[in-house]
Amino acid sequence: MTRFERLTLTLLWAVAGLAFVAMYGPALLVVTLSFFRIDRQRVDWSSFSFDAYAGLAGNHDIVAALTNTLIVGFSAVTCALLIAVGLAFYMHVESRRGQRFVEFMIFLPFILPAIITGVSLLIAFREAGIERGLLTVIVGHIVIIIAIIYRMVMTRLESLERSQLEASLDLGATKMQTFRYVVVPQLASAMVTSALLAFTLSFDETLVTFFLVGGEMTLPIRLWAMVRVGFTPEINALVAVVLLMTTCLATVGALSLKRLVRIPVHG
Amino acid sequence: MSTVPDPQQNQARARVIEMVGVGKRYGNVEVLKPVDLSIEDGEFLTILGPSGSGKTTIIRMIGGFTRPTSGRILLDGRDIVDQPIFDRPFNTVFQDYALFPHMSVAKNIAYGLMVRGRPKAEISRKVAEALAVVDLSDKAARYPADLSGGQRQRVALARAIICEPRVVLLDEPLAALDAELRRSMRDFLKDLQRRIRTTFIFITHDQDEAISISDRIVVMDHGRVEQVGTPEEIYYHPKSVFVAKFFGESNLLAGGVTALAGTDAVIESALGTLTKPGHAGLNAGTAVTLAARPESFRLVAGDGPRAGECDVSGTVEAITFLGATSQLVVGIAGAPGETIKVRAATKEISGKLAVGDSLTVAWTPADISVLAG
Repeated sequence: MTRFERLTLTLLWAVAGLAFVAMYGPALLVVTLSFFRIDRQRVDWSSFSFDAYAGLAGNHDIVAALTNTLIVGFSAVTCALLIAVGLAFYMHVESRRGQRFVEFMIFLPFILPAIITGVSLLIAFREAGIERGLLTVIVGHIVIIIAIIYRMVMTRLESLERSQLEASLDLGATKMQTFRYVVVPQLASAMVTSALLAFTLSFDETLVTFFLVGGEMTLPIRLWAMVRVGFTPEINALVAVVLLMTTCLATVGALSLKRLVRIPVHG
Repeated sequence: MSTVPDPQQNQARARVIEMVGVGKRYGNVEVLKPVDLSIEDGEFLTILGPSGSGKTTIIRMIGGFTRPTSGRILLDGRDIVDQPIFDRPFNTVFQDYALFPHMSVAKNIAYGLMVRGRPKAEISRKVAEALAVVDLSDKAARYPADLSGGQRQRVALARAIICEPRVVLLDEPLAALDAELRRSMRDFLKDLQRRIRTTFIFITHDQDEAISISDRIVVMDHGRVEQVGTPEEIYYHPKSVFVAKFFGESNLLAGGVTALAGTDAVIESALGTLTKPGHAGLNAGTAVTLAARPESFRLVAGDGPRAGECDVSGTVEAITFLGATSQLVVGIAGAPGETIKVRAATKEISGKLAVGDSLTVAWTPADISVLAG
């Protein structure tokens, strides 16, 4: 290796290192600070403890916000999964007319700036006379996450040979039996993966939620409210918890996505 | 009261499927011109044709995957065009086998019985029998991805026959296999069909496969049935230039009808004058093509042509060694540029004939087919 090549390689490593520091440094800093007391904007490095986490568990507002977030996430993902899988199967089986238009309509809220989606939904709910609350947040999250579930399920369906569906019908199965015994087992990994990723999206969704949430706050909204008052170790601890949960979900999602790609689909 | 059996009625009873004027259009494109075709109970029928000939369309319409735009498909005399796929007593072996990758071999085979809600004991017994029939008893717990192409093929066959269908539809099932496996699977298929005594409708574009496996062959081209007949009928008596060309090697010679004598046609060609009986449809002056297989010609030794034979003189232009037989290209004397291919036993010509030698070739008029155009 020449001197020039060594220098280039060192520079590349340095750039990559800086990029990683920029991406993960702040998050690590927050997690680190969550274990120490902060007094007048100064960190007391001798005060390592889990007090902030204990305080978090004892904070009823935060626990309630976390519960709300989980309710919203599970409800939105379940509903979006049912709608997206049903719609994808309906669209795929006989290549329906207008499929591209329907897909465009599904993807639009995902692509649009969240502020537009949030304000639109807020106006729609107000005109319909529906009070803001967890239900409106759930609907808002369904609108956003349905696109990702639909796309992932559709990708899997498209890789499933049409002859398998025909073979099932040919062997005497009804369309429902074909869906149950042939389609669903082969869609399972796509459904799990997309549900996990959708749940991650729902878990930290803030902007659309901000327009639709009523008195019952979700975790990101509670966090935002707390930040406005000032930075405390509880905030750091909360960020650390959210970071940990999101990372776990994303990791499980990524691993099942890897499995999804590996499964052989051809007979 | 006893009745005298009606032979025609008996013949009708032997028909499983009857296609009456069945055609298919996609917009302005007619992919299948109206077809009339009867499929007999227990026969091995092959639909043969090049890509785009409409052979797959026929099988898909019988199976219920494609709806005809005209005509009726009768099963035991009853129209089944509106009958859904899952309600038809046919099962299909797909070109890509279409095995379910998430199910074991046993579960794949059991699928048809399982969705029909048959008792578990019956399913287990029949799956074991089907596995034995296709010689895969030791592979019951394996998954399709673990099997070879030939084994997958046999799983697909077992899955198709386990529900005891009236007809098994085979959509180019050997296309994905290598040459050696194709040959062994071809024999296996024929043997299986004889053992289970079920009607097989087999799609292929391979003439050798069609000849060796079929009771009857339907030759198709450009969405039209060109000819239906036994392999021998189609091979030796093609009814169109397409069939003569597509089905094995043929000599095709231009000719013309010079006179008619009753139903006999007198035809002039490079082979000389030929009288063919039973060609009432031809008129004097009609251009025809004469078709004959290379093995329909005989090299004449010193004894000359036999009774009933015609002969023509020529010159050997090329000899191709093919193993037990050799093929000669013979330039016909008095017809510049006209040649015929003649197949003869290699030992008959080896060391006796060479390029440039003169010879006489004989044939029987019955072995020459007269084709329109």
